[in-house]
Amino acid sequence: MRTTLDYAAYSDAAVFGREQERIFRTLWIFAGVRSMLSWPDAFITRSIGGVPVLLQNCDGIIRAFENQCAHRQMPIQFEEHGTRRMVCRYHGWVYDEAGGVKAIPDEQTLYRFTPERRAGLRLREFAVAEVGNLVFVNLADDPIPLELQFRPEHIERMRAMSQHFSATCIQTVFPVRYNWKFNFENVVDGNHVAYLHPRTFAPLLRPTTVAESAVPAVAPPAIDMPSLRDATLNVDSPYQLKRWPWQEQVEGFESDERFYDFNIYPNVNFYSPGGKYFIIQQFDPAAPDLTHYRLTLMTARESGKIVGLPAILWGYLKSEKSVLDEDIVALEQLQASLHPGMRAPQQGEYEAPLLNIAAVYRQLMGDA
Amino acid sequence: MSSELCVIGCGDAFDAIEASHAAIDATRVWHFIRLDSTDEIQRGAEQKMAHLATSTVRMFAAVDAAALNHARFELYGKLRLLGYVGDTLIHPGAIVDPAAHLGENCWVGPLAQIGPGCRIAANTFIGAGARLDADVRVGMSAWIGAGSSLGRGAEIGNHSVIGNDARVARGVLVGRHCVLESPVHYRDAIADATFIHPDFPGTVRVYSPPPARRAPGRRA
Repeated sequence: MRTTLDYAAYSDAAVFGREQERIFRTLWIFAGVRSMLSWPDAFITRSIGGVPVLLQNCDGIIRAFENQCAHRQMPIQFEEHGTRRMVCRYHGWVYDEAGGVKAIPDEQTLYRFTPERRAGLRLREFAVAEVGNLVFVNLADDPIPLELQFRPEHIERMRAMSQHFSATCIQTVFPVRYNWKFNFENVVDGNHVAYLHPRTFAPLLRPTTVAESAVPAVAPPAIDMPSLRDATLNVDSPYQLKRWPWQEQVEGFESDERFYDFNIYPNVNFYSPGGKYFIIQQFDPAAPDLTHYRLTLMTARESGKIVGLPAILWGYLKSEKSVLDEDIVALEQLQASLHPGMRAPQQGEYEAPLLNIAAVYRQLMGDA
Repeated sequence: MSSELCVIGCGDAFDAIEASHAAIDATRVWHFIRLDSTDEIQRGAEQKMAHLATSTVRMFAAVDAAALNHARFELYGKLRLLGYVGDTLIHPGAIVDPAAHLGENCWVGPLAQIGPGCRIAANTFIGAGARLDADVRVGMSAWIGAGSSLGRGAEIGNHSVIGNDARVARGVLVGRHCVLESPVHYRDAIADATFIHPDFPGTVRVYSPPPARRAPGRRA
């Protein structure tokens, strides 16, 4: 069994195109936070697997559509986030809550659609699954059951964690010059923390040796034929939370002395230091050597008014970014060093989860 | 005006005021209470002024833009609730048009220029060399960085931070809780809680639900 990925997996355009189809247009992909869509006509736009996707609150139900008008493919919503009915800016086509065309200006004089064509005018709709405050979208015509991708206990825990989100969050997106898989592998590999983050993140992990926290109490072994569900991991570690008065004003998740971490396959790292605030890192593939890094951060839901919440969120985001920059510098160097004749990585026992993920990737890509 | 003034705080603004206090007003009795850091504000820094009577001493909270000026706001608020009245300090090298209005606990640094019709709300600091053209509005607890410029009629929301050398074009509205740290020319309106910073290649935004609408005919 080949256990590690080769040069092409991180740099080849054809492989990248197959990933978009076989992974990002096949699996359930995290698309947004429910609390950003909680009011009428709130929307988020994303690109998933190269497809423009619109998530819209339609009479209280979160629906996902292809963000292209049925008329001339103009995006229905331009902004990344906002509150607006589904009306095309180009020629004024109006859509109803189910994605059907509700009204077309001057329809009888300009378009004269037959009743049959008129009935078929609608936005392409995609499947949506809400797990607490996490909204997943599946672009496949026949989506796999969510339970085939994630273990039931993982779904339940993601639900429980994310239900503690505040309704207010801070978000940014920025480009990084490396393949998206490098970032997912990096967050699964806790052993890098002591070396890339010796003064920032490592001191906050409670065990005296960071290597101790890198391996879950029950380390999943390398599996000959791991299932898709083995690619998502949940590891909790002891943690030294720095205390601030605002933390008394939130309903935190479980213990404030634990670091809760979910690596959600294929491209999300969802974690919470001390259950007091939550971070969602998403690694959106843009090209073989280009990833759009989406970072969302929120406190736990408020039990009282937090004075200066934007300042608190901004402060934590800057702090997170300074840690991420330590990863980004290294991973961009890694990407730049790739070459066709490079040797296979020599991975050890603690890296069994990485080997499982690589095996799952090969299965999904049809290379197993 | 009281002849005694106590400046309490830390950071660059505190240092600048302490260094130039004799030039600001040589006739006053100045007290300076330097804090180790903004953390002290939460640990009862206001108690350090307990020996100074509210009836005879005015206060000035001099803290930089930490936590979108909330640190300074907290100190200023605590002192105000204790009964101290805040002063506003203008460096003698600054030019403030007589038709401009400044609230209390404002600082105008050296070589700053404030044009006619400007309205600067309380607890806002304007850095050295900043230029505010006519009719600029700046909200409460804001920070206008050194060398920055605000075009005629620009409006800056509460708690916003305009970074050093940033330029806000004429008439542009900048929302509340914004940070414009990149030293560029801002020509378009900036929504509330938007952060533009050299460490972040993309814009950063805080998203929150819209305020609940009140039922018609009912008062809040």
